[in-house]
Amino acid sequence: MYDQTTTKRMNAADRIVCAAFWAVIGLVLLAYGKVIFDIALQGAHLISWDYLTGTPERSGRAGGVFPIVVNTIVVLAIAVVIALPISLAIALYVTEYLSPGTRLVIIFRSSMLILASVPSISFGLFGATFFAQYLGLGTSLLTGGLTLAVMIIPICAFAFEEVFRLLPVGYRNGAYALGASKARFIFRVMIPACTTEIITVVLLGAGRALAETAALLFTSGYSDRMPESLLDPGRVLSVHIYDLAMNIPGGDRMATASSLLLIALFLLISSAGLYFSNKSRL
Amino acid sequence: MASAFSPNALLARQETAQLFNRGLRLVLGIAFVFGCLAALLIGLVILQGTMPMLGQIELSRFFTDSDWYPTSGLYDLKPMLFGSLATSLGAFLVATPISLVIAAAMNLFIGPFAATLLRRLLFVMAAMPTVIFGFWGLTQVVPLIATLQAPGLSLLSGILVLSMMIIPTTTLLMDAAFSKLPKQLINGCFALGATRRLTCFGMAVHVLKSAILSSALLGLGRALGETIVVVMVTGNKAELPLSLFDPVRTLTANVALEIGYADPLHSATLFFSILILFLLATGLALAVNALDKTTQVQVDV
Repeated sequence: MYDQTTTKRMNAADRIVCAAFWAVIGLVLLAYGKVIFDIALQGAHLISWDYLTGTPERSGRAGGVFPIVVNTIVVLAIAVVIALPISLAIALYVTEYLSPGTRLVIIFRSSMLILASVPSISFGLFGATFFAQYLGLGTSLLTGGLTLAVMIIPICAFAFEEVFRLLPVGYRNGAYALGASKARFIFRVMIPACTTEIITVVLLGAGRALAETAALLFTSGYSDRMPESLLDPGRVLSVHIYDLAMNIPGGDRMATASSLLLIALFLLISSAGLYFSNKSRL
Repeated sequence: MASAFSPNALLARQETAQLFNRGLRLVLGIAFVFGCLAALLIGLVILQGTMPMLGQIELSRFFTDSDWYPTSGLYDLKPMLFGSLATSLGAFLVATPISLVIAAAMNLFIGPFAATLLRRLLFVMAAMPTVIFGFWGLTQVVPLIATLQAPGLSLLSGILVLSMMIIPTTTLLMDAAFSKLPKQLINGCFALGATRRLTCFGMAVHVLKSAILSSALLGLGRALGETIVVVMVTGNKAELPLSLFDPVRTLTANVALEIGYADPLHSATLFFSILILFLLATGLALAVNALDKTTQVQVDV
């Protein structure tokens, strides 16, 4: 019974405090509700099949967003495909080959902690210098994707590490008792047992990448034409919204439509993430 | 007949397995080393970007120059530094009490069903694309503030929209701290006849104060590093504001606006301003980490 919280009846003063807290919660929810509804109400009638499949005209004031959606998906895919194996490998090495609390682990944790908390614009500058100039990839979808990958690797690695630590110790002992090697345990027990959680983490990382604007401003470029290769520049949805709202007079209307589209994509990814995290049994 | 179980075949299989194990360890180890060095690498690349400045601009000029006018060789970073600190500290001051109230309510006042629902909503809002907040702020908050005092694009709008952006993050972090509170402490308070108010403000907040502070500081860090929201709603005027209604420009906004056309010297000053933020964020992250280490609540039963 020690780990149960006793329910305690509230007295009159408690009720007043509780009501005040509810009022704060209500106000905050109202504000977030207003963000979504303002954009949904003003943007809904602008979204049509033509909008989704058309190309931008007059710098995005009219026409559609198809190339921009393609750019967004390509950049996201690059980021996830690069970040998934690297962050998985990092987390596996930390949980399987190092004992917690050693100096190496502390260095690693500090590095990841710093990366998870530095401003995203510093990743943008890094990507624009390192990938675009040093590696000669130029301002391109590939540069943007790689920059986002660097940005989400610490987030995913942290999350994977947490997942692997949740694995019941019996799985590990059982596998080793049967004579499994470390590699066999990792590939036949650990990863299969954590598939749901791994998907959740990937969706979390993808959501983070989809939400990013600042790191892509000077890495993936502004072109609103259809990309022909990964080395072509191309703007993603968030940059498109930023550009329409800030630099294009009369772009607000279409920025609302693109915002609605971005919110929809984002909610799709996050609700998939929530679905998988509810399915988790670890 | 040589079967799969002959001594030789078993030995060969064992050797392959060992080779595979070693190879795996090597590959994972390389990824790990990359992870350890990544923060350093990014820091160095940004540092390297400031190199053209060396011997050209003295550091003191960032504070003593009369104006920010890089094309004419005037590099006064004061307004931007002030803009960054004012917007993020403002958001920190607005968001912290609100987050604390919501986190406390979720754990001690409202039922678990409502709390779970709220937690999911906040989880989604915490990762919301910031450009959405920026755009909404530009089309809704800025005109509202403009009705009080023109131009609307101001320090105040920056603070308001930034705090909306960080409230979900700080609330969830504080909520995690509250949920780690040993249940015995809560039950003990109730057993002693404490009201919920006293349990919350007298005990929980007191026990969790460093965890609450570290959550709030992480929110501050997010606000300090945000670019898009502040570019869109603060007006970006490179001057010290005289009131909450005056426009400001932050260090991040300065970079986003100018790096596109900057010559090497100018761009070095922009890299320098990001270096400042990089170091500030690093210091903040390590401070938070140290704070968290002191938070472990120990209760013997």
